[in-house]
Amino acid sequence: MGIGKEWNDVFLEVLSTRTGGSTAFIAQPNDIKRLLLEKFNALAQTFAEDITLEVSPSAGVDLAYAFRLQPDPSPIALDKQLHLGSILQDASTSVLFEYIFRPEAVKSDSVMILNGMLKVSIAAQPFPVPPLRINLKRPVSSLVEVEPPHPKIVQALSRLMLYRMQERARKEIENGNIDTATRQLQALASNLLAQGERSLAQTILLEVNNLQQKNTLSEEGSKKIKYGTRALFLESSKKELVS
Amino acid sequence: MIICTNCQYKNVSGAVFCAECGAQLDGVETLVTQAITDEQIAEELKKRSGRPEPVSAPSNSWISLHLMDSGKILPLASRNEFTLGRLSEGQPIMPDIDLTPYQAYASGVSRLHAVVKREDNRVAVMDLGSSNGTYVNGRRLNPHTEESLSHGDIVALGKLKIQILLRNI
Repeated sequence: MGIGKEWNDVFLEVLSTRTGGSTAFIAQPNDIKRLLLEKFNALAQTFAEDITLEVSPSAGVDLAYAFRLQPDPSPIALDKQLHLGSILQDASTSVLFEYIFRPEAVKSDSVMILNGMLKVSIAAQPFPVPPLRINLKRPVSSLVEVEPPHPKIVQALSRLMLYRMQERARKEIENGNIDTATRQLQALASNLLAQGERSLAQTILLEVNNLQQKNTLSEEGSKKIKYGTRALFLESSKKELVS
Repeated sequence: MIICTNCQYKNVSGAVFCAECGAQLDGVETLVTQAITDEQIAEELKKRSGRPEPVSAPSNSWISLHLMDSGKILPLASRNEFTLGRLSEGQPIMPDIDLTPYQAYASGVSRLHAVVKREDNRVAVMDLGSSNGTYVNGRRLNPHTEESLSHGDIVALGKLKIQILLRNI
């Protein structure tokens, strides 16, 4: 949990994603109590924790990106073991995976997407939970059928796209490509305005000015953009915490 | 790859949103014209010339769909219009006739593929903007344009071939 502006969010993020945890940014002292209450409530509602997905590599299949949509939206570190976090009682845990398939992945009429084991730990269970084998395959057809994905996935992707735009902009700043980063942040602000996220869009546009003058983002602005775009996955009451 | 029409950025295949500008992509990949040999054309014409004799339609329906691969006949009655397609999870609008049990997915049938309708003394089929098209006797229909049907016509939804069986209406 990072309070204020001078904390190393990169370090905290790496630490939390490697253990299935999450990071949060608290801009105002008044929000500390609310966030802590939410965290304690979540702890009381935890049904299973340490969900770990062990993936066996498949030829021609690359897991390019993984993001936990709920609870606690957060990117997931791409290791051999993917730490997916916890499952809360009466709530689902949703993770979005992005795969890239190369031609060698296609075997006869199907493609293996995921072959692995899901391990969970349930505190209320006296015995260890046996790992769950997961084997996801999809048929392959020579016919081109362009159908949109499920509306829920499109909605999640539309929010994830905003988060990833700021990730890309950050990378461009690191590489010294200020013009590209500026363009990407401006595009991000336009998309946010189109979705009615005026406050966050304005924060970004202010940071664009900062970027053009100082070739970097401000500490606080940088965190506001990162955690603000991540908060787009949350319902409006929780979103206020990072606005 | 998919080229964004808004900013011309080259996105990876399967992308739904442009990584550069965030615009929603239409999902249509750059089309490549495929060369067809004379032998393939001759073979296709040979296939089409062998149109089967229509089997008789059940008496209680105005139209029956003879699924040629499985031999199954689906008699349709009680309404003047039926949408054809396949069911899939989370689909907001469902087709009247679900062709999933007849290899619809593998044959390239869209969720809402086509509609068959009866008006006065005419029966027609209309493609609903399907991905793989609707064909009548081997000729691809323009989307959202009605095409009259006769007894024994072969309608293909993608690769799923259906013979139309009509009662005298």
